[in-house]
Amino acid sequence: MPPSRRRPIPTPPAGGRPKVAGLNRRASGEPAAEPAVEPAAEAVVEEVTPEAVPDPVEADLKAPEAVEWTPPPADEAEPVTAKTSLQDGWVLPVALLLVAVLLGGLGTFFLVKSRSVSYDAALVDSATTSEVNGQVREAVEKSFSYNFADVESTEKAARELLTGKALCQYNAVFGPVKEVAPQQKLVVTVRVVSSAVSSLKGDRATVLVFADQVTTRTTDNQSGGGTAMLRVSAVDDGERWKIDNMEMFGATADQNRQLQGC
Amino acid sequence: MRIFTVIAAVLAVLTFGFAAYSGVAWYSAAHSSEASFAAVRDEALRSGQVGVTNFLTLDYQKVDEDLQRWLNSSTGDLRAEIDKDKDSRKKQLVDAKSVTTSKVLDAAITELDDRAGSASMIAVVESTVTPDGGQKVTKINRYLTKLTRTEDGWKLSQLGPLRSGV
Repeated sequence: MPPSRRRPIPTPPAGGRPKVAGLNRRASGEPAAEPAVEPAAEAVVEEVTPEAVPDPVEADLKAPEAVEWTPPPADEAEPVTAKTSLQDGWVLPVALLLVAVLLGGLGTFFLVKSRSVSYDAALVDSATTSEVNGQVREAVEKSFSYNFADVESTEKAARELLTGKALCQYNAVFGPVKEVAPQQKLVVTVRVVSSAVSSLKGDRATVLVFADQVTTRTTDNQSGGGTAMLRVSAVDDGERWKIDNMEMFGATADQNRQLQGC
Repeated sequence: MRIFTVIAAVLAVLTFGFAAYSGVAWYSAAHSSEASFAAVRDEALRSGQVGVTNFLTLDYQKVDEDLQRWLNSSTGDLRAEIDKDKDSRKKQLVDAKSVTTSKVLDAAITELDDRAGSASMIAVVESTVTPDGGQKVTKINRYLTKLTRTEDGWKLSQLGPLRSGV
């Protein structure tokens, strides 16, 4: 190895190596042929290897990309610069695309979230709440109040104010009353003591109703009273809120059986 | 290639606008006055149900605990009343020698004044009373309660059964 040390000494021009590097490569074949430039050959080897090695690597790396993307702009005039700008040039659109995808996902997530933000409108929508409340009260009072002398108005009220399952439930609960009503000349008065809308969503509402019932047998003027707690479902059919389901709290076993038939 | 950058940039800008718009939509939907009023209503309802359950649950063997829980769930008139009659009430409860457990079957807020911090609630409550060594009796009752907002949340300021003919 000592000779190798000696050799570099006579090649001060090698100080210009970096500048000449580019040229060297082209020239590498020529100087290698010259015997005098043995050191240069070594220098070249030294120098070329670092550059020569990355070159094929770069070439290898670029090759697949170039194959994929170069067709339109491929300019072979400046292969090196073109290749690097190719790489750099794709970073931006790809990054932007990635950002776009992320933002799109985020936006969709927000949108789904904002759609799913739903609150129950009971009391919040005070106008509709009191409308539901009032109409459900009216429906309960009218259809469950009964006067043997005016059967028609009760039945009419039930037909108009109840719908669907509630009609069946009504008949189950009120049927027995209607059977004995004519002989006993019954007068049944139902009054809603308190009620509150517990849920209001679109055209559906749930109302908790507390009612008092006073039953008078006019044949002997015997009176009886009772209380009722109902959870009533109401539906807006466009004209008014109609009761379409009733649940009684504290119903007797008999009543429950009848209601379950519906 | 520039065209791709432009397209990607446009896409990014568009999706940014979309994300910003829907983000704002979500925020405003979640923080609207309606949504917060609904949240207040739900909170009042929940507290009311817990309060009513607390008040209708007692064990003659743990009267002190029960009374303390009543005081904790109440405010205003109701609290003052309990505090005043504490001793006689305690004796009464111990003498009754019964255990009562209750659960709210359904409840709803009848009125709510967010600003004043007051609300009214009606509730259907199933109570089971078990006398010492006796048969348990289950009854369903209806209650009307007034709620008042305090620093510790909603508390009962009035509680009473809604009797027939009220």
